[in-house]
Amino acid sequence: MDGRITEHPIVRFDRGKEITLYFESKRVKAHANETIAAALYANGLRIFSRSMKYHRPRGFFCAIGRCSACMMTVDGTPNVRTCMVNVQDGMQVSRQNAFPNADHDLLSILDKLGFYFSLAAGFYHRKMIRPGFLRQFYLRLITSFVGLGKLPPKESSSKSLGTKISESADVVVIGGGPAGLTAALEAGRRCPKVILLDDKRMLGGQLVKQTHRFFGDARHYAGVRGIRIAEKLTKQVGELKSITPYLGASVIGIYDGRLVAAVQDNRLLKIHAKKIIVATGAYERTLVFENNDLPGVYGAGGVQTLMNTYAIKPGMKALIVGSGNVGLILSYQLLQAGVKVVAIVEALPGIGGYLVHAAKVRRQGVEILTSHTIVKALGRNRVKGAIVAKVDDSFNPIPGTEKRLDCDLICIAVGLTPTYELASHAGAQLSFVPELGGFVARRTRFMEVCDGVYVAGDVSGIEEATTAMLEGQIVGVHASLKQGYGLPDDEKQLGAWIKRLDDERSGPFGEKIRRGLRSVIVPEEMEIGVCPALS
Amino acid sequence: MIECIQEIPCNSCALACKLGAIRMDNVNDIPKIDLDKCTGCMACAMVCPGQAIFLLRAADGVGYVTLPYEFLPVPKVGDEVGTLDREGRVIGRSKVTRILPPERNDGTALVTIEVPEEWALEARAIKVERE
Repeated sequence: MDGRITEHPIVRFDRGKEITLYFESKRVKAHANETIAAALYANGLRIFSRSMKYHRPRGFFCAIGRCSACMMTVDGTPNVRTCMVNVQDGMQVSRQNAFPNADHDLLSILDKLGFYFSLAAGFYHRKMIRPGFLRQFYLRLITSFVGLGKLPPKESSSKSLGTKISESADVVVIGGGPAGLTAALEAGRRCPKVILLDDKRMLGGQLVKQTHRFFGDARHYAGVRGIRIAEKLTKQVGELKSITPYLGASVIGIYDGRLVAAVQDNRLLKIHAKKIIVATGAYERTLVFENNDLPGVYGAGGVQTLMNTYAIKPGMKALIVGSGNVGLILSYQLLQAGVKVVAIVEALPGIGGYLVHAAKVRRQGVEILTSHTIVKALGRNRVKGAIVAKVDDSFNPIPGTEKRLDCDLICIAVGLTPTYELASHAGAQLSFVPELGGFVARRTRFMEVCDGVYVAGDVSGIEEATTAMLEGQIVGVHASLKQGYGLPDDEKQLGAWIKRLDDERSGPFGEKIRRGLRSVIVPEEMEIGVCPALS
Repeated sequence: MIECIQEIPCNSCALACKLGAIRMDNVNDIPKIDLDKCTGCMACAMVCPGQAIFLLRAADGVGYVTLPYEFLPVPKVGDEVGTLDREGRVIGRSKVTRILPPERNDGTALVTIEVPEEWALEARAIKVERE
């Protein structure tokens, strides 16, 4: 079975040359521009791993290196996120933590036994501790049943963290999405040295899977497809000599508020930064319902990555949970890829996203079930259907209203939450603001969170691409001006962009954002002070 | 006809119009079209991310609806296609009389279909069958 999409109304895919991958000693056809996870999915694989303790089957979820559900052993290295690594010819890939293999894992009996023996969190502190002399044996037994992959023997591991690279830069931008790219561009036009870090192999962040035309301000690419915006911004970055991009580089920490540490291809990058811009974006939330970990229940963004970046059909019949803009857009994109959308369920009594988006999918005959929620995913090793039900005013399912929908794909589009960890590590003070999606950093109106550290884009609160790009531009210019690099009229330009941001948020859809921002924007720059680590 | 009924932050149509026929004072406003200035060039419909702009014309009891189309297969002039209303129900069949091919507009085709005049306010999408 080949799940690859051969024709698409919008995107022309470049898969690269055909190569071979060895998956649990079977030959698998792959392409050079595919990630391991994408190539395996295209070949029909659905169970990517077994859960750590109960050995429940797990599919992939996010496809952007955040959820860890796709970790496998690759060429002897355990726990490789297969959605982040491109296929190489002759690569050896196998799943881990299962016996005899992840498709038929005998250890999944623990999922049934766990209930009887109440193997709840921390059970090993209370059970199997007596007699004392058997404790070590029990522990070894438990660790052989649970856990992740096995480390290769020491002498065979040739890939140690060998080289170190030390760099310094006027501005370091973490994250190459819409906010990070515009921040790097504005800083790069002013400062002599800017470093742009991203853990993906291509720039553009989540724009690379947005095949639809964007809403927003036409001066910030409204009416243009997300994939084209990514192409344009990436090209501009390439043209500026002052910007050095490091791709496939995961930032692991920000120390003393100034030293950025990243890992790229088994080497360590140490970058001394004068200013740091954190534009790490957001990750997808999930929803609690029975069997929500079954392969086939995926994040909306993960499905977009598979379908729009790697041109792989995620399934045949999809159920979408959530009618915000992401859920509506995803439904439209699934239809474009030839996937049937059985319904969109929305717990609220009204549609969450823009009505024009909803009209686009309604015209194609897709039903939007408001005041409905998903109760259960059906199937043993992969999704075979779903039970949905009406909800009452407090969002509890009403008994007797359940109905069964046939589907092999359940897409969770219930919102995003900011990837705040690095901002926090750099010294930002966090507040929990539900209107902005979760924990966000307190900041000035120029988005400075502590002395020399900025946030921009979704990490500062979940919004959309136009506002992310505006914020990126604002911080890029401000971080440069603070070091004495600037262009004539910069002060005026900053004022104009801040005005445009306010305009964007002035409508009814911006009401929530305005409310959220009131609690995190500190009135005067004096209040943020220096990073705790420095003081 | 602009079926953009909700105040959302988007002004792509207003800035696409070279004639200033679409007025928006704030990016969140609902676009207001000045039909005296509009020439029906469809520059706005080519970029509208909500696909909410349609060109309607009626002559001698025949209606013509121009609508955006981003699916496969792409129809040809003269083809018979299924005509859908706003809820995706098939209301009949109609003939394609003009098309702006998708490759000329980054994937979004503009398809003109010939319908009975009374359908002009109903027909909002097409369904093209594979041969």
